[in-house]
Amino acid sequence: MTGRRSVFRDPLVRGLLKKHFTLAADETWRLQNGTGPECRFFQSFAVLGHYKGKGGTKQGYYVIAPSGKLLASANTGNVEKIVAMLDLAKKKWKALEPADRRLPPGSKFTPKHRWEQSYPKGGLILERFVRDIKGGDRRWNRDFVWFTKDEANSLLPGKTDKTKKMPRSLALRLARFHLIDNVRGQTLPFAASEIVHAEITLEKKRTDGDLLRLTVSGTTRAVAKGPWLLGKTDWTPDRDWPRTMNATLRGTVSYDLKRQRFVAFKVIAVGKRTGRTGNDGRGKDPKPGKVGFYFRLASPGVRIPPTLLEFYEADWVIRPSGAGYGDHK
Amino acid sequence: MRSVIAVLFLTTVVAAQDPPGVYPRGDHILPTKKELAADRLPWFPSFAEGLKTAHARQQPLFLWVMNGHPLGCT
Repeated sequence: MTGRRSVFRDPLVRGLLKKHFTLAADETWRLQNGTGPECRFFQSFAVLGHYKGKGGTKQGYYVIAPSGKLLASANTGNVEKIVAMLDLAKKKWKALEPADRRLPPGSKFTPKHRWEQSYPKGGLILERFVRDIKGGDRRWNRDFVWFTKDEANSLLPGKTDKTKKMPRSLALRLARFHLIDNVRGQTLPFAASEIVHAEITLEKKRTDGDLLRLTVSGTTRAVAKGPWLLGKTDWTPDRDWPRTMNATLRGTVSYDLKRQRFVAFKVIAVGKRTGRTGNDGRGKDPKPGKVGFYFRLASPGVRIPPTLLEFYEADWVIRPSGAGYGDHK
Repeated sequence: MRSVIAVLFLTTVVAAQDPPGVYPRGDHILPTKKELAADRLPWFPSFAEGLKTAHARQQPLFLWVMNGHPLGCT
C-alpha cells in the first residue's frame, strides 16, 4: 500500500493529475463484485485493464473517458510507469470522438446504498492512524471513527461532575473496530463478547472561556480465541484467527461549549498485540509487538466511512436492504 | 544550571503528556507530509461522483481503487 501511495509524492505526478484529470478514489471490492449500475460500468473496463479477465483483484489505477472507454491502467508504485500511463491516457483522450468523452446517454450511476449515507452530520469524526511502535517497516494505515452528535455529547461529564466514564457502547466501538492491528492491511473486528475490558474516562481539567479542556485515559483488552463470532458476512474468515490486543489510551481534548462540539482531539494509544488474521500482513512476522494509535479530528468535509461501519451496533447506520454487505444490486 | 532545570522541566511536561512507552507527542505514529502526499490532491471519494464530474468537466477520469478505500483503511 505504501509503495503505491508513494507515487503521489512525486510533484510531476501530482501536477499532471491536477492539470489534466478528474480524480476519484474508491473501494474496489464492491465495484468489482456488485451488480449496481456503477459496479457493472466499472467491471466493463476493469476486465480490459492491467488485471485482465474476470476474477482476481482489480486494484490499481485506471484512466477512463466518461463513456467508459479505457485509456490506460496500471498497478504500480513506479513513478516513471505512472507518468507514462498518464501521457498515454492524454494522447488517447485527444484522439477520442466527442461522443466517447461523454457519459453513455441515459446513464445513472447513483448507487442505492453506500456507507457514506450514514455520515453523522454534526457528529464527532475522527481520523485514526496506526503504525508499529518498534521495528516494522514504517508502514502505516488510516481509518475513520464516527460518532453522532448525541454520542459525542455523551462523552462529557455532567455539569457538576469531574469525570465521565465513556458509555460502554462507545468504548466497545473503539475496542472492537478501531484499536485493532490493521497497520499492514485490513483485519477482522472483535466481537463484543471478545472485549474483556474497555474503560475510558474523560476528566475535566479546566475551562478557558467557552473551551472545556479534558483529559482522556483508559485501557481496553480484547481476546479472540479464534472462532469467528459475527455471523455470515463478507468478512467471515475461513479459519480461526486467535489474537489479542491490550491498549492503553491517553490524551487531551477540547470541547467548545458554545458551539457544542469537539474542537481539538488528540488521543494516543499503545496497543500490545498478539496473533494475526488472514489479510493483516503479519503472516511473515507474526511475533507479538506494539502498535501505536493516534486519534485526531478529521479534516472538515471528509466522509470516508469507517471500514468496519457495518459492524457498528448503532441504529443510525443505514444498512443495505436485503442480505448484508453484498447487496449492491 | 538554569538550562538543566529548563530541560528537566520540559522533559517532565512532555513525558506527562505521553502514554507510557510512546515517543513524545506520538509524532512517530502520524504519517509525514510526504506519506500523506495523496491528500494534497482533489479526490472525489466515489467512482460515481468522479465520473459525473469528469463528464461535466469534459476530462478523463483518473480512478484509484483498492481493497478498502484508498483514502481510508486499505
